[in-house]
Amino acid sequence: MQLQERERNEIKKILAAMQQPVKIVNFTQKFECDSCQETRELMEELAALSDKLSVEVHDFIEDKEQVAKYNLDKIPATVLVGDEDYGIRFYGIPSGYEFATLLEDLVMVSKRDSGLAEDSRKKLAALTTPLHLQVFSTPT
Amino acid sequence: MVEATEFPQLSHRYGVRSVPLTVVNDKPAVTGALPEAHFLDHILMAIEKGEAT
Repeated sequence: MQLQERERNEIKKILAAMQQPVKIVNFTQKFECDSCQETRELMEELAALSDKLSVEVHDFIEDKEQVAKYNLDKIPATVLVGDEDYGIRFYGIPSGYEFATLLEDLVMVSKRDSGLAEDSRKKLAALTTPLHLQVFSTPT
Repeated sequence: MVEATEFPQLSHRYGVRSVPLTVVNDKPAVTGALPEAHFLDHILMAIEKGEAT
């Protein structure tokens, strides 16, 4: 069990803001690394906390089709999918501050709205080449 | 999001020293957290720089 009773209650309150369904797609493997197991359990426990959340678990070694579909090269990997794949990936376990980021992202994806300012959207819409962002963080 | 301690080779490749570090199209570009407009400007500058090289 990754989440304590009290945490689960707090998380339920945050996820109550969700509007549309979100699918959590998690990649692990048969012989799970420590953080692979923790991440999978965390996602399964999270998904149980909202009827708008579902979880899909795939094997990184065996489910080649799914790995290619989401274009993944490492695990644990967690993808948040709404009406489409918005390119949101968590590599490694989202713990500490990143757990709050994960919850925020779930609500954001459920609203199908990035929350970005109008000006930011305009600038991003003008991009002509693919943009790949990787934000490195540590569990604090 | 990439958990830096779980992927030391990647962290090493991009020279992650402090977090958050944002890597734009495979090049380290922004250190720390910035207000949205500033953050975006840094990202756009990094894209231009990347395209020029």
